[in-house]
Amino acid sequence: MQPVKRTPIVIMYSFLNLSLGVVIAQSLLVLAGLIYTFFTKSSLFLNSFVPVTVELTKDLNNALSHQGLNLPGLKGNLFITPLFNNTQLITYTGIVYNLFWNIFIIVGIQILKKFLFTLTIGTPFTLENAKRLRMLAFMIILVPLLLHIVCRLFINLTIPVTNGYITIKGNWDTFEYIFIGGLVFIISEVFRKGVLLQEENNLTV
Amino acid sequence: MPIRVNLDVMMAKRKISLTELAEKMDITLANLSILKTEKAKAIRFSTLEKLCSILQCQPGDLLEYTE
Repeated sequence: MQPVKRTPIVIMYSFLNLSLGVVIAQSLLVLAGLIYTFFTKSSLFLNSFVPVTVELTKDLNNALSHQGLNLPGLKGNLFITPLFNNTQLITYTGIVYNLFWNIFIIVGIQILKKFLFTLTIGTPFTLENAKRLRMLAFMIILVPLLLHIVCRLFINLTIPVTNGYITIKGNWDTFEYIFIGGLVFIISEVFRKGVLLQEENNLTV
Repeated sequence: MPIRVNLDVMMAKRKISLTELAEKMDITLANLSILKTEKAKAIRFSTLEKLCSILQCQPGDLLEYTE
């Protein structure tokens, strides 16, 4: 048996750590912003979170394809409602959605890191790894679904802008996540079967 | 396990140690130990054949079915 080439694993591990750092930093920034907003009653995000407010009000069609509003796992229609009392109607659903998404990414990266670690120390064909893969599959399917259900419960997503608020009606558009999650689930089941076969083979004299 | 492995009895009768048997059979001591301690899930016919030829016995002497 040839020794495992570790360079790609190390590169992947560093990449995962880097993305983890970026996601955590972003979440902390958003959290700090939320706390700041809560205490000072003036939003940090008004101009920075949705930078093209004026353009949005002018051009609805263009606003749909705008990158700044591209929330992961959510596609839908944009509605702009004029706002008279700015401070009362500001909601942070969009930001909270982003935070929940970040938590999902952090947990997912941790699972991937553990999996990669088992690759470096020995054989990855263990029941723990099969369980990890299965958990990842359920997460990929359930987390966007749950987020969509939550969005549906709150009717729409609302993002604060300076002279109004933008609502994004959440369409149930998680087919791609179900597909990817299903794929990972199949791999995990194949993995589990492989582990059992290997165990049986090891105990055959 | 309803199927008992009486390898230790046969080894005692033939006065042969586990290490010696493993060497003669050309399998690892760990695998033979798995068989002797009844942890094995399956046994190959080739292994059984080697065991019988070295210990000069029948498969029925090594394996026993109990209720």
